[in-house]
Amino acid sequence: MSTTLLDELLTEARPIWEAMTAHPFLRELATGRLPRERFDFWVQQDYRFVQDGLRFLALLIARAPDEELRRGLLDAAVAFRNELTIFEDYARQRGLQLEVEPTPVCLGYTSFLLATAATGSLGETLAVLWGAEKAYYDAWSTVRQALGLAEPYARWIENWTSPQFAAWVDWLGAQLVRWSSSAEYPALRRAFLATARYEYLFWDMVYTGTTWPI
Amino acid sequence: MPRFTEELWNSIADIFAAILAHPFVRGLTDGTLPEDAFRYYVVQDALYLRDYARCLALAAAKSPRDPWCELFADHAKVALVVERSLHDSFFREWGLSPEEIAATPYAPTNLAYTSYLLRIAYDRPFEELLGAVLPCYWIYWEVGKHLEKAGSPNPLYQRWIATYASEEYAQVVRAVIDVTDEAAADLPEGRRAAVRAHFVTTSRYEWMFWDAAWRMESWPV
Repeated sequence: MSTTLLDELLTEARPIWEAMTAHPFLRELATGRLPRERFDFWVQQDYRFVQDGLRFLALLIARAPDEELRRGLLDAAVAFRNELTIFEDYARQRGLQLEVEPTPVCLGYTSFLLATAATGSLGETLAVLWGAEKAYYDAWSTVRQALGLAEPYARWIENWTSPQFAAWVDWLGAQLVRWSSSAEYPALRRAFLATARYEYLFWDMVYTGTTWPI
Repeated sequence: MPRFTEELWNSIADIFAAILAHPFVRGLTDGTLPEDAFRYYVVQDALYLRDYARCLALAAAKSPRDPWCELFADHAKVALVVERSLHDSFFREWGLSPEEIAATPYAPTNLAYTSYLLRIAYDRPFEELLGAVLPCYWIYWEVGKHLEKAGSPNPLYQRWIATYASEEYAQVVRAVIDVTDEAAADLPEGRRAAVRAHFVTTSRYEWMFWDAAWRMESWPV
């Protein structure tokens, strides 16, 4: 399998990727200085994100051309469902409301994912999913390096840095290589870069608390 | 009982007032709008129209009545014709080629707005799609009427204003308002609520679109 495509995408996105993994939200989380309200806000917004992520996966499953892709994505859908439980358990303990309005960045990102699944090519759709998952693996790995499995974040850190999650990200990358045509590379590149930007913007939004201007 | 669309319009009275008061919109008529912000706006609008056309095509596909299918299929085409006409007028004068326009990245607000339209168009029922596309039609008509009264000392802006204040454009918008009222006529309250929510969200995006052009918004990374 050629990994040239994946390397090219990551190389092109490197400045965005570095800004993302070094974002103050993650740095403060890793050094224990992040105010708890900021983390709670992330919990609320990321919960909305995962909810729509599940719908995104469902669209992709419906369009998967073969059984291998379909079953791999189905397993991931179960994992997404379990992710929601981590948020729900935390919210229950903290008395936190989860049915909040998504901020413009959260709604923009989930709409972008769903619009890509709806009207984009299979290659573009796999590129944004791989991008989002790879971004989370890398972001949470920086946290794990600093903190190990520290509370109150342990379940999230474990979820997004486990060997199973790493294997899922690699599998997804392989599916992206397997299912994209070179004709769609320019569109796929754009979609991947937009995903990387949204990943950065998401941390930035929860850090600054940016919401609707009107 | 007021028309459903009247209720929709009343629900965005504050947003519409904020649009009219926005320095970008005011700047069109008093001539204080910097031309690079206007150029930024027209280029982003061309990108927007390509996706808007696709949403309208999806509205055509989802239309429960043939005349509505015909109407939206026609509007989808018109959106692309309007997009092309920008190339023959504004873009040519600015020396911008079709390739340059196509290579321009969607600004953050534009990508968020068009993605929202596409996601609703793709997986929500017909009436919700109407709620999402209607503000673009309607707000431009109202803004156009408002701006036409004031006029603009800048011939470039004056030409742009004339498009949306025309009687031809008014008929297009009235037709979609009528379809929305008919499509919503006997909907249960739960389904009307979803239409209202999309109408408010894309109206917010309309304000944000002007604001993004005013700030010449770009990606921070």
